[in-house]
Amino acid sequence: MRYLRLFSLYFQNVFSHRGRPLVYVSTYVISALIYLTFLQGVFHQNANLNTWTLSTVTSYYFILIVAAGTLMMHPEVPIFRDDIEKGELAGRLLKPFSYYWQRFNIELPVRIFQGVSGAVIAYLLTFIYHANLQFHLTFFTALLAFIVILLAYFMCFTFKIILALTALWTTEIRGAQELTDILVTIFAGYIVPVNLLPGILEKVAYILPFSYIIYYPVVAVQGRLAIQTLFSVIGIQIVWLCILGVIFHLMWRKGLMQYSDFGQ
Amino acid sequence: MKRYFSIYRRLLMLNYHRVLIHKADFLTGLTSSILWGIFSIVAMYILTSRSNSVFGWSRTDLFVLVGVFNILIGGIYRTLFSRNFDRFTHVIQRGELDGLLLKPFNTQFALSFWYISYYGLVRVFLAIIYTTFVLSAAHIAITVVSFVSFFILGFFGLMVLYSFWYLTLTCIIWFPDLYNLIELLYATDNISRYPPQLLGAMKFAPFLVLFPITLIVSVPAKALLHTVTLSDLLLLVGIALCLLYLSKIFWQFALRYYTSASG
Amino acid sequence: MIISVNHLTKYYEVHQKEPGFSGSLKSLFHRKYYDAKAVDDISFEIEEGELVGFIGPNGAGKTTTLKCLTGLLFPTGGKVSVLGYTPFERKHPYLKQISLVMGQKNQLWWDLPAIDSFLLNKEIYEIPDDTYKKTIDELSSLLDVEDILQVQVRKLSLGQRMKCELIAALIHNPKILFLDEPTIGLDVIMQQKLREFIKTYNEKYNATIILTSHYMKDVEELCKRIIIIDHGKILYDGKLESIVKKYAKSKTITAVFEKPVALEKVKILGELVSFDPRKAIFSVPRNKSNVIASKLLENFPVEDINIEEPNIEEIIRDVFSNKASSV
Repeated sequence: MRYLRLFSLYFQNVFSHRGRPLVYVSTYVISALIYLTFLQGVFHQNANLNTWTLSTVTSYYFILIVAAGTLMMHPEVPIFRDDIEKGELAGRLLKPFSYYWQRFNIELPVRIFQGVSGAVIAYLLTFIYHANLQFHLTFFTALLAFIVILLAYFMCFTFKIILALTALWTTEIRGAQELTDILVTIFAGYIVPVNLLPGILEKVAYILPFSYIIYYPVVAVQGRLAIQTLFSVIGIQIVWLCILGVIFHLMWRKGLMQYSDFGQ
Repeated sequence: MKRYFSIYRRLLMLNYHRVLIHKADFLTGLTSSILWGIFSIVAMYILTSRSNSVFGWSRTDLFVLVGVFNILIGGIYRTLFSRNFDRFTHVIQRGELDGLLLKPFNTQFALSFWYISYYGLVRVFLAIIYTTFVLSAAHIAITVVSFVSFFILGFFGLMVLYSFWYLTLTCIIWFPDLYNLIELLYATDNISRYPPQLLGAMKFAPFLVLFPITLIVSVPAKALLHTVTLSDLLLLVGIALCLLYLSKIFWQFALRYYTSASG
Repeated sequence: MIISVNHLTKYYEVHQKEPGFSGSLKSLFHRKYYDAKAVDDISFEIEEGELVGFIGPNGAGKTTTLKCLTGLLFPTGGKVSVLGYTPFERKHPYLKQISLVMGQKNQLWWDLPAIDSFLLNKEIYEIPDDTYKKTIDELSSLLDVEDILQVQVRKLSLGQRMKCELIAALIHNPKILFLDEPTIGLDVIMQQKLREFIKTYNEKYNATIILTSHYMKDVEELCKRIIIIDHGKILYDGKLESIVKKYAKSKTITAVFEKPVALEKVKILGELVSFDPRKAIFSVPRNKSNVIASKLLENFPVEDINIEEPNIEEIIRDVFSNKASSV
């Protein structure tokens, strides 16, 4: 009950700062449309790229807008700035809630709001682009796609909280954060779908966790993955989640011992 | 004017002293700046891996475009202005603008030039080497004319970008909550990395407001590629001067609505 | 008149949200705003060289008034003239003659020694080299900070930082100094030093100083004239001693006796605040304090007697809570 109450309060907070999530969604829209339009220029010379058509790739980028709004979160920014740098972590530690779930509850309403806004914008764009969003899903593949999305959400959140916790040792995360942003942009399928990446980059993308956070949820929703592939993706996501979970627990325990509060 | 030069000289010195104190910060900034530079090249490589030309621009042209982007925006602009614009919201939201408004000099100057990120100069240097390499590999000569035109057009291109950012961020006076407006600007900057025809192909009329952004990098790049026309030049210079004037007027107007932070 | 304020008004538009989730959902699409009257039709004048205290509770409108006088805020209505200029126009000759110091804000570069920020201000205010040197030497000597000018600002204590902020604000010898809670957060010794400095600065340079503060000690020690403001309106504008005479209806007499005295004999003299056989404290009407004091001395073995005005803070509190009669 108390988590529901917390969630409700944080959701109200999102409504009062409605401009901010909308600005973030706009950045995803602009980025997606830039890459889509560029690829459309490529498609004029090559109508079929590795099973992608102009229609399917357009639908990929529109769903990417929703995926970016919902799944690609940045809790590391307020964690670093407010909790670690300003010392608000002390206050959070005294609350009868796990820190992980506190931050989770803060982030979730923003993701939902951004996801819904992204979906509305993506839907409107289908009219402008005369696009036909096609979802080749059965009930079972839709269920598996939902699980992929859920696991992707937890993967991203856990990864980002780990990134923020590095500040307990380094006192600065900007370098690590920007490197992560670059890797995510290349390997999560933002620029082009992962299977359109050239040679070695495609192989690296399948090894790193980022494609399992953005690319696979998007193509799963499109219905481009067979059931066996969906199960493989879910399996790999679970493995990654376990690894990230262990890293989080270790860093959290050791990090708290490192943590020194800042006086006024 | 002389006064502003001596103020700026003092600011250059203060920022240099800060670099000496925060060497780790300098190195972090330098690393991330170079990484983003590499990223822009890798992104273009990925996008052009399946085609030799897009929107009438060859692969070489597109790589030159990326090089010029890194010189002008990734390098010079980030060195001179980014840090100042990054803290724009902070300054307005927390009432720190008060201190600047009470000083007997132009606030727009103060907000725009207060901090300098010296590590950006390294990216400028590396981008110049990269662009020179791409041009010489394509056997495109850098003549005195192309160099001087690039320099002048680059200056006006930066003026367009600066004015566009300033106009947009001025809106924070009415919406101090929107501290992430800067993220939107970084996203729109990316349009300048691609051919101007890309904006036209986007099929979304409101995006036409971003038209000036498409000229920032493409026109100076065309100067290096010996394909710049008089209309490109006039368009860029005209838009740059109009936007600069607009940014000044809009800022003066917006200050009437500045409410400072509570006492 | 160096400062002239006529019917100054400043309203802020404030968003009013209904409570609960449904209120939040409504506010997503339609927001209600109301005008918060920070300053509501105030008028006053200040002469050159005056040291005026602005007092009022939180949210009274003190800082908003100061910001309108310095030109930071554009007034909603009314007319303000400072040194013959309209502050909001923020003309450079005007800005070169004023300074605003806010207790919790800093203008010094955090990572650099204070002297570096002073040099920047020197360029901004176009101060000649010899004037700059003389001013820095004088101010740093007055504030006793000669040794710390080369130390990074972030390594200074709050008191030291405050002193350096003051120097940065006074480097151009402003004619008018606006101080917004300058002693906030400082320890009692530092507060005292700062008060002494402000007093000296006012006397030495004939600078007009407008000061806002929550500490009555600041006001009592520095200001002959106070302006009391609450809910954007001026409740009192006049001499500090007059407010005591006007609003303090009683005085306190404390009598210490050589030998124990009986309560029945003492209580007929006036209202007893506290009593023990060797000491009595009375609250008596102002105009009868001398009479009652004489009777005490005549009729009782008084060892020591003390007549006190009420605490300024209590008087001001009464003014705020409208227990006193209005101005």
